Amino acid sequence: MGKQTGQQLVEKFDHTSPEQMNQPYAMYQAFRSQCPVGRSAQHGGFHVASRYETVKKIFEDYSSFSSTSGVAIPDHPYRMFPIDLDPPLQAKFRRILNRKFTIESVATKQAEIQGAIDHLIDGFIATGKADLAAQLVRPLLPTIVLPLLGAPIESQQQISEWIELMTRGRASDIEGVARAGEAIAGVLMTQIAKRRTMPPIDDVLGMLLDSQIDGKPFTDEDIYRTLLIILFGGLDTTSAVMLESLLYLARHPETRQRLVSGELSWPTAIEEFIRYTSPIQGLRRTVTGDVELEGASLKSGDRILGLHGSANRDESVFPQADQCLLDRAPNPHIAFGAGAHVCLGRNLARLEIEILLKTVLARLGDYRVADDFEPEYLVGEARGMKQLLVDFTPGLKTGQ
Amino acid sequence: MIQITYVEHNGIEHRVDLAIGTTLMDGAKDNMIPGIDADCGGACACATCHVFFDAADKVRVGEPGSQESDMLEVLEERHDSSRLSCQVRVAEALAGLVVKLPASQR
Repeated sequence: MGKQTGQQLVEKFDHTSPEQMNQPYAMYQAFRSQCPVGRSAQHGGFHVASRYETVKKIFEDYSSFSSTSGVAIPDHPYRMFPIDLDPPLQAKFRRILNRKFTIESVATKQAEIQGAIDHLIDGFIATGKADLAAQLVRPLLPTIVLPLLGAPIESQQQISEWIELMTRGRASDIEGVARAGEAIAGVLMTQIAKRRTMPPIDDVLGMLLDSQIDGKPFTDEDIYRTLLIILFGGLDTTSAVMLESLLYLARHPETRQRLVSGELSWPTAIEEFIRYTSPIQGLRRTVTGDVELEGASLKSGDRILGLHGSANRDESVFPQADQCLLDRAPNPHIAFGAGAHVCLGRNLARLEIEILLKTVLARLGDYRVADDFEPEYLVGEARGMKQLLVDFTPGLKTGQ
Repeated sequence: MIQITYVEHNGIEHRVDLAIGTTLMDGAKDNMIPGIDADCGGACACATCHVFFDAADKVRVGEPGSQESDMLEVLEERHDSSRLSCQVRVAEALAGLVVKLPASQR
């Protein structure tokens, strides 16, 4: 950080910069204490909000801070539903989608998730070493999310790669992003057209084909834009929490034991892993009318990035905020967002994380990371670990 | 504190004491009453904390504000007395109120 003031840091702030975002938390701390609503000169200029209460207000007050011009910086080339809508229209979409993401609904996926995790671990457990990012966490999530959506499972690998490119490439490879976007649109639009001619299937696509808003059925394009955001949300962010949790547990073997023995509550621990990771570091809103916010003057049409990653480290709400305290309660983190757009998949994510961590502790119980391991992150609005190399005592495949 | 009764869509009743100044949504969440999802946490932005009342209670509960009215348009099973429970403050005048929960939130 050197001698730069919070104001100077905010001016240079770029959430797509690996250099800044590999370890962003000291920078956020300077924002919160010196420049809680500042202005970055990057990407055409945008305001940056960093304190918990302010960030929460931005995401709750949709009349003043709108999503309809997009929620990313730089702009995402595709509008998506319902993330790029405001209430009340947004709520009409969500009421339909929510039905597939309730606690009760996602609980029916438990055996499927467990099976997919065991299958992936079987692939490397005999070798005694693995990259838990490439061999477990990243391949896992598409096998859960794509069937839930109704996206074609045979395109799983390709869809994951395209989503990765579209998530990360907006600042550096806009042509690649456009190509990936066209490719993914091709696959999904074909699937939607095909499903219109088939008997109903009980998945998200089936539900959208069967639903209406204000008496009007969804067009193929509406459905495509909806499936796309669930893909964006469902893969990358959950991976980020899983990997951060696995790294933490590798470095804190005594904590593993407290989880396995039941001394620590899994749900409480998982909320803390989610807060500590904050896989979505920030999202944009667009100011709808001139307004003052913590001394800063915002003009109608200005863009503002609310930093979930900073809000969740705000010491005024979370004592010892930089520590991962697995018995932290209460834990009013906003890692899943706040207000109308609160994460649709949060119940599924919690379940996936819990099953994954329990299974790793049961099957790779003594896994270790190298003492000098320094995580590197893929960055942007979403931030997640690239690689997690571990070794462990080789074990047997399930059923052996 | 005043006493409020929440009635689930299947008729199950929950009689609870709520502090003045909280909301009917807070009361349901704090007492773990099923049927109030309150996804947005009370920002009047998701319409998942819908409740309704007997016709006789409509006046003392009061009318929805304009943002709340927009959100009530989202509901499939709207009643004449429908409100979002995050927008109804607990006051002395509501003592003994019966709050009904819709089937669509379960």
